[in-house]
Amino acid sequence: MEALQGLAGGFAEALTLTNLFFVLVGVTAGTLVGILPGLGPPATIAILLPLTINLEPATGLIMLAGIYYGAKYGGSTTSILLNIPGESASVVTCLDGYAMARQGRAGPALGIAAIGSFVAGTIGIIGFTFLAPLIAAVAINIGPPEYAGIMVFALTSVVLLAGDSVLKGLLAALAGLLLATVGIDIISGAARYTFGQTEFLDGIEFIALSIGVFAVAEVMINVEQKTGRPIFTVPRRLRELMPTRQDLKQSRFAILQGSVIGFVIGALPGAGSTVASFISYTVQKRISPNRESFGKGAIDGVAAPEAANNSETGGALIPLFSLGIPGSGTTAILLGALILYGLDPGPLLFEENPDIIWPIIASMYLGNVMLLVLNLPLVPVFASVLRIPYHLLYPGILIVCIVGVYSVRNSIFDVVLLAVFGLVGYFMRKLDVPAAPLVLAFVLGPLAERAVRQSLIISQNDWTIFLTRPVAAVFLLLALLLLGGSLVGRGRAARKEVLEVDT
Amino acid sequence: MNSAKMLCTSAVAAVTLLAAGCGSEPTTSGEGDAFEAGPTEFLVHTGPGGGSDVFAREVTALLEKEQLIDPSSWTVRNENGGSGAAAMVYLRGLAGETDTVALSTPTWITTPLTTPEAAVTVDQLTPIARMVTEPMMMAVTADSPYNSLEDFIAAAEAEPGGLVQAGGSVTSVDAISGGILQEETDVKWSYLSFEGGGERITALLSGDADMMFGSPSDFTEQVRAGDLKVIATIGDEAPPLFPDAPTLADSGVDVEVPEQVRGVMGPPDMPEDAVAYYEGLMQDLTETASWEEFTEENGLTTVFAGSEEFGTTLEEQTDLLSSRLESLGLLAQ
Repeated sequence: MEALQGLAGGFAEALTLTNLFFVLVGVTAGTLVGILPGLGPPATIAILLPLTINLEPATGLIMLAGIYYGAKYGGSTTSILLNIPGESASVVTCLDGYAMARQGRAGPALGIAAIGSFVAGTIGIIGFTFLAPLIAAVAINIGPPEYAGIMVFALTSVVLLAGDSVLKGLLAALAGLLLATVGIDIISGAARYTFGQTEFLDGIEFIALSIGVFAVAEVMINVEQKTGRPIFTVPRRLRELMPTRQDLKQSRFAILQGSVIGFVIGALPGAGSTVASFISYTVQKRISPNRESFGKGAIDGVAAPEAANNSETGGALIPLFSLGIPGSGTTAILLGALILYGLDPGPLLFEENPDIIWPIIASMYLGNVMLLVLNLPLVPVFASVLRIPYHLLYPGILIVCIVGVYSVRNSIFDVVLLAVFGLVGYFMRKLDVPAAPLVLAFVLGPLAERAVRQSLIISQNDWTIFLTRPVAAVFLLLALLLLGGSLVGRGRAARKEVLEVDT
Repeated sequence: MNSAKMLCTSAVAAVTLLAAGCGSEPTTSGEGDAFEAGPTEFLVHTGPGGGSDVFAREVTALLEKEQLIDPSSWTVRNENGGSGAAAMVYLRGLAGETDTVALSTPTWITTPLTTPEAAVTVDQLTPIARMVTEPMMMAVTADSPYNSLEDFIAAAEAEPGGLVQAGGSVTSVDAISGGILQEETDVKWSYLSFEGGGERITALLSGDADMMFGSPSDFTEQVRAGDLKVIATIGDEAPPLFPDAPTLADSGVDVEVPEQVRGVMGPPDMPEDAVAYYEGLMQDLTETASWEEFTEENGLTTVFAGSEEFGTTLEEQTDLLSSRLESLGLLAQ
């Protein structure tokens, strides 16, 4: 009830003309930032922060929050259209999103991403509004051993994500883990595999790796094929550019489960939207009625990770607003913004500044509606990008890739890496080795490594810590079941194939 | 159609905002001429949103607000590679130039000491001004049995390696300070590295870690809410936010720990008149009311000193850190 009262007060404040305007500015800037690979929400908020400092605290924070969740909407656009994952959370969106685009269904994919994002974003904020104290109390007890369990589960599913060959998937994942070890290890202080290059001290830049193996490799493969036949077909009729009733029906459950998974994982400090989108995709792949079409353009394979990515925001704001603990780069900079506006972010924030916090929450409901209204009409516009003739489209894609990679840390070295990983991705495609396990293992590997080592420091090298902590044990068991189930399933499929060949 | 127009307008607004933030191209003033204040790049070693970056943007905003510089004449430049190494290489490349200054932190000292890949050391650069230090506090959960540093040390003695300190990278100042205290008191506890500040406090609150070193502002709110208590100052002077936290000398461990000094540096061979200009500018800034407010909010202590004294500070800190890193086995060969 208290939450409802607070929310009502928040809406009264958020619905002023000024605040509405700044919600719009925030979500629009967010959408743009999300579409462009490279410059992410933390950077944008940091750059805009000094310019917004003269606004009323609630107004300024409403705008900055808008950038945060607005960017999540835009993230899927380049993944679906051009196979460019602009941020790590959109890697899995590439798999089925781009496959749909190749089938001429870019419109429905973009549409379902927008609708899924809206529903999930709203569910995330509803969760934030009513469950914040409860979730915060749970999240605080999730530590390294629990993360280790979650990461083992996630890495197991990475391998199973591999297309037809588990062996090739495993190879790609191992390559990803190896690449992820490059750089300074914070636990021992050792610089690993840097080959004397200062550029490698911080590790391999994620954007260079992911855009290289996905987008650049894709361009190379397509240019090589040099077929006169168009790779994309874009329907002329507007209706075919939107998701059909059937599409919506197929995605309903995916959006719902993505919303719940994204929200819960978002609330855990240090996990983030990549893990959320990825676990939601895996879950969907296991339970979907049309699981055979996963990786080949399944619409619920787009809906689930996009939903998880957007409801993650609601979850991630819980530790920030109810405890003053930032769980990600973006929430850390938002914490800085709260301090700059003279607030004291901590356990007492809600109690002491309801007049500022509730309008922010209310504005997020409004912002999500605005994002849907902004993004849905843009779907046909974006889908038409694929009508651009190839001799213009491909150089265009490469330019976007290069600018995006360069903008992350103004480094030509990273652009060279982009080219190298483009070649790596090209040969992987030639050898039919899937790229997704490589990129996801690259993201999850360091999280897993750190969590395991941190756990062993806590337990003084006693491995039973992973079994005596219930949450960790449950996830390890799930990983085991997943592995077992999949091996049995594959065995059966193989046997069936043999039988079919025989007859 | 209206919504399209609205979209267009707000897009333009957003882009304008972005462009304004990104700033202008670097310009190079002619060498040999007398120094004239002009467009200046403020170099930081973290990406946008990182600790140093936010601090630098704040300093820039305050300089403008106090009308000490022309509006929009300073822009922040991020060279965020190799824990400071990339920024230092960049700055060394600008030898003799006058239009770039950088924000330095203890990372600028520790990175070249611990990583052989980092080729530039602070003594090759020009010190301009010492700005602030961040006092370091020791915090435990409110219901912890430890009420002082002595309590904790006694418990660590009883259970070698069993207690856990949460913090950042093993080469960060909090880790090194923890190592110094263990060496000095001849006890042993474990150190738990986390990438993010949020994870550290979470580990402390959940009981996975037993204590943590951090700046006053890391703890003020949790202390006010009754979740944590601050039991000691890891330094020689208790900060205004925690005036009652006993210092190291009070706790009977009279040892020098590294300081979290932030200052402003210039490229090698920066002309004297330029150094004098930036030094004066920073001094003027630290004397304003808005600076006082800013440092207070962020739990920072102003320790302004000019070029020469800052240089001495850097030397002292380098000596202290290198001897301690050596005994901790972290010094690069």
